[in-house]
Amino acid sequence: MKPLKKTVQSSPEVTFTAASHKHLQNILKKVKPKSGKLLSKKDQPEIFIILTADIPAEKRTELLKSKKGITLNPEDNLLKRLLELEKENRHLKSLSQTDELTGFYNKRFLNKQLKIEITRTKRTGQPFCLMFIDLDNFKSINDTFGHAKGDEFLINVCHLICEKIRPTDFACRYGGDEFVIIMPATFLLDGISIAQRWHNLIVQVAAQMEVNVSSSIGIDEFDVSCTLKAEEFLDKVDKELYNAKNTGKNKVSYPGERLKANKAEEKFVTPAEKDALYKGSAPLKQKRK
Amino acid sequence: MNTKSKPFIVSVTSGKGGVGKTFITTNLAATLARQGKKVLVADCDLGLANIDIMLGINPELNLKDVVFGNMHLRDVIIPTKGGFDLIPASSGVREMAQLLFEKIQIIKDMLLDIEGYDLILLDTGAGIAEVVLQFNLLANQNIVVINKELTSLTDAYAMVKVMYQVFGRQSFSIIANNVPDEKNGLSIFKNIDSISRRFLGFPLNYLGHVLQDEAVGKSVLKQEIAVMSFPRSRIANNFSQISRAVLDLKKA
Ligand SMILES: Nc1ncnc2c1ncn2[C@@H]1O[C@H](COP(=O)(O)OP(=O)(O)OP(=O)(O)O)[C@@H](O)[C@H]1O
Ligand SMILES: [Mg+2]
Repeated sequence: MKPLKKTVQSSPEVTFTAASHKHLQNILKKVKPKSGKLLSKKDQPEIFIILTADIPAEKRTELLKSKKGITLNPEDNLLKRLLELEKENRHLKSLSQTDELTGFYNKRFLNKQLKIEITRTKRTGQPFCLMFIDLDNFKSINDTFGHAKGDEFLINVCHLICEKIRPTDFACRYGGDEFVIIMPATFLLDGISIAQRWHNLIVQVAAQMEVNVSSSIGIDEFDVSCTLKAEEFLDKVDKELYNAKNTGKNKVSYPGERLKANKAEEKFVTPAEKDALYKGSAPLKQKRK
Repeated sequence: MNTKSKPFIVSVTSGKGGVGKTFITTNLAATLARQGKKVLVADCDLGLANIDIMLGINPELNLKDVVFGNMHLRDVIIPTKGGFDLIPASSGVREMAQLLFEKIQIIKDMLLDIEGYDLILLDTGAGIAEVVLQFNLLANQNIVVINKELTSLTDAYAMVKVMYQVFGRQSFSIIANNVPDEKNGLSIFKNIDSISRRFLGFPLNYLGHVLQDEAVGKSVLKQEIAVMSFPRSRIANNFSQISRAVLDLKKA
């Protein structure tokens, strides 16, 4: 910031950016510059710039002190640099991994992690699961009780999920009331029971807050034979969610053919369970001898 | 007899094929019918339906006409020589084995609508296919048939585990079929029961055993129902005990 100040002092031409549109309007009322331009909110959603040459020196320092704005000289391209700086700021913000409201990971993180998991599955042969959660009827909260209540609901649900989620799973906020959970090293069957758990949890939160909200969940497994790309797999799971929505909502939908016979049992019984079953039968065999 | 209330729906399932689901379904139905119960059997093995063959009948209409025609389940019900009624299914129709989710829902809804029976027995297909899970889910109680083969135990356990993990079921009944003696039946039940307690956290319910008996093979060949052809046989006795246990479940 130091170089900026320097420039300001060396030039009568002043550019000003304020923290908010309203703030700027207030300043404009105070200083009443003879010429100047206020960029509309639409053009610049985050930066409001006024170009003016006639802000009195004492007002200028006042503005500088308020820390709510920066004055600078457009002649040496500082305006442009400032705009670029703002752009970069926004970029940096989006680079962050979490969603501000819920504390879940954001969509950007999801896209990155999904690619990592696909590579991991290809390398280790272990499948992972991905589920799409979409709240049913969520808009009704916003419409009847206001957005604050809607936000409260989201926060409650997400905090509970964060508390109970397996440390290896990733919970992401995909959109308004859409969430995606990635479950590395997880078979579909286990994924389904986890989905069922989140489904029940959402029912509980809704009951506690006395709102009529439930969830539709679509889930699928990405196994080593799958050749889909990240976006294609997301699409596939989204279709599963669509299926849940289309067949009455408030349910978990998964591709049934994946749970089909074909010695699927092999997949469901863990070595420990199998071992125990076999051991349990051992005395039997001896008796028969 | 209380035919006004909803029928008690029991599915007969296994995981592994060929362990005697269909044999148990028809013989249990005949035993219950002889005791004065109104029983309906539904052949839910959509791909490999064979109750009609086991009974030596050739029904005009079957489940296919419900799914692809516009018949109601009620329209395809026929009486049988076992004293119970039957909803036959068609065998070898590929489309039936791969029914769409919605079609299964239609059958399920119609089954739930049926009145005038004390019990409905569902004979399911083998394996952990979606259709099988759906019919098990619909039933009030799942009877899992096991025999002394280890693969039948692991597959039965897999079925229990899937029904528990996917749908939260925690109540299953076991029949040990084709066993040399009572003790053997009990010991294979104890085996799977202890694994369920240990890994899934709930016990299983033992309905009883059915002895290995050559009368079964003989009746199958003649397309007859064993407990009817041999009413004083040991297996007829086995089925009497099992039927009492099933009626106890219904009361509970
Ligand atoms: N207790 C028994 N004693 C002797 N034979 C038996 C016994 N139980 C079943 N069987 C024989 O095992 C064979 C398979 O029985 P069944 O068709 O009922 O099995 P299933 O589980 O319905 O098979 P699928 O999975 O193909 O539908 C039959 O030929 C039957 O005769
Ligand atoms: Mg059969």
